[in-house]
Amino acid sequence: MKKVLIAVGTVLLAACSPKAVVSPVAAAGPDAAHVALAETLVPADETLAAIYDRSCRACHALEGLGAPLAGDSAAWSPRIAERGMDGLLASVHSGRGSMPAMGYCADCSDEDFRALIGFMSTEGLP
Amino acid sequence: MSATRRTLLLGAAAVGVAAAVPGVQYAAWSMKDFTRDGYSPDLPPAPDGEVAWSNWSGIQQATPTDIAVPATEDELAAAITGARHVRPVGSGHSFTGLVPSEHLILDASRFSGLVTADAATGLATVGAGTRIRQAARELDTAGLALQNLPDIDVQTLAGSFSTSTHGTGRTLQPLHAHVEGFRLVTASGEVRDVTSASDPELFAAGRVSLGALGVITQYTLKCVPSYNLLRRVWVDTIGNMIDQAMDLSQTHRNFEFYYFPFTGYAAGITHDIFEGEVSGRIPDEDEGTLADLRDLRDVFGWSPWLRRRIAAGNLPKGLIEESSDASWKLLSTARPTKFNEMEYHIPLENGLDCLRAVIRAIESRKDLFFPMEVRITAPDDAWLSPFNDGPRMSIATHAAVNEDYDYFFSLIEPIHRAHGGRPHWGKLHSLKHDELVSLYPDFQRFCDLRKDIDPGGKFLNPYLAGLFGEDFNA
Repeated sequence: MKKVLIAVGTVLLAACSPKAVVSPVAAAGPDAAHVALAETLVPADETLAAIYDRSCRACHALEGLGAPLAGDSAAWSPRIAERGMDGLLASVHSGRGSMPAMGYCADCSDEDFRALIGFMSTEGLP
Repeated sequence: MSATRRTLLLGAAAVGVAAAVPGVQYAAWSMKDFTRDGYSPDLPPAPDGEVAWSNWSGIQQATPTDIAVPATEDELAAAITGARHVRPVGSGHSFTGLVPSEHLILDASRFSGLVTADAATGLATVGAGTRIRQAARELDTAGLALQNLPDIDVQTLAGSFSTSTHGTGRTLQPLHAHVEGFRLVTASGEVRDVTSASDPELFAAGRVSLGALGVITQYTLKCVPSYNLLRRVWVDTIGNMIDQAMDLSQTHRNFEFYYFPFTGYAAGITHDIFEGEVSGRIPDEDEGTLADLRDLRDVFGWSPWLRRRIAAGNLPKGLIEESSDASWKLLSTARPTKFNEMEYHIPLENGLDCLRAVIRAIESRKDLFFPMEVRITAPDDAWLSPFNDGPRMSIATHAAVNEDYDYFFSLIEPIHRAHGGRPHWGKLHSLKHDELVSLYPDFQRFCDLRKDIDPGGKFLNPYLAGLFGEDFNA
């Protein structure tokens, strides 16, 4: 599937439009620097880093999966503004999008989740 | 593409279609609700003293007394011996009832990360609860790589190996074929290191064992030196893709294709060893794209002819992507869009006939839109490996997570069965003990060994009892 579907979906939709001339709106996403940064960022705390590695990293370090990237504060701030830390915590508890309930960390405490969200939502430094 | 733009486009399209084509048909279709009865994205309510568990797609649910996440083998053994029944869980990516338990669910994901790696021999020992992407990343830092990877890389090693998860490649075996040894904690709490030399029967049974023999805490894997791949994606007619599939599978390291139902077109994907400077991976944007395909179904589904014409007139043709990167960055990702799935592995010589029949069946309904996936895997020798009697072509049918999938069983599964198919252990199928015995020469042998190592049925749940022809004593 992957990339081909973008092309497929886009042209099919264009075809659906009786007025085929539509100016595409650039999707707001992370820039290349943030995509590259997310691949390497890990929490400084060793215990937290181990949880991040085994539970969060497969999705929050890879662009295109719908998960806000670690270190991309611009992706996190509207979520925090809208739902607050408690709302984000509730999302991890119940699951959201493709993230399962408890975010692949069945033994994480709320304190762990808060620290992980704090790490991921802080602007990353190269 | 923003949701706003999509809504606008389809809004305009809907108006145009409604004005220009048979209004009654369109109006009837546009009233249709594709959501299946009983669909809920929520976890089940858990009574006091129980916790809620659900698989990734939500169709398997349970309220066990606890989900234990032991950090050491001693803690793990204590959890096992202290529970009436135990079901191990990986990442919950199986659609079948392998995990649900009203007793203890045991999550081995603390057994994660690279333990040892030897670049000279290619042998690496990795925690069995390690998710595939973490394993691949950490192996890469040691100069090693797994020989192949599946599409999705958030499963744990134990979860994927134990269900005979596979990638694609005419000469490439399923993932578990590269297991050289594993450590198993049994129902009695005993810790056993198993290799083909130490215990050939348990080794043959344990590599694909559905979590029915105990909890595996680590694997020793035969790896290859890290390698880069060149990825090519192109679009062609399904007729051409089928005609060329066998040749393509022999001339490329990895070949697979997706068929987009009701379009007549397929996307082929190849990966080949790449030696030059890599260009980097191109990010996926599946979620919005699948929504677009769903929208096309929603608007034009009432007229397969129109749907096909629109697709044929507008799909890109030929090569649409060429990129190169480290193998693990190109072969797998997490999947952002949830779905339910049936996948059967068909003897290679019957594969394309089966595929044609499945496509005909799917296109006999108007309400489907999810792409089908076709892959080929080389044989191995684990007792419960679906690939253990020769190369097989895997044909996967997906349904959106909130839509009907009953037709998998009524419409698709009989076709797979008629072509000699064996089901993926983690994906939807209806087979029980008697059918499985007739499909697998060593199935009863596995059942006997299971009973020997776990006489009390510690690792059974009602679903597994059905597979093994046992009564479940709750």
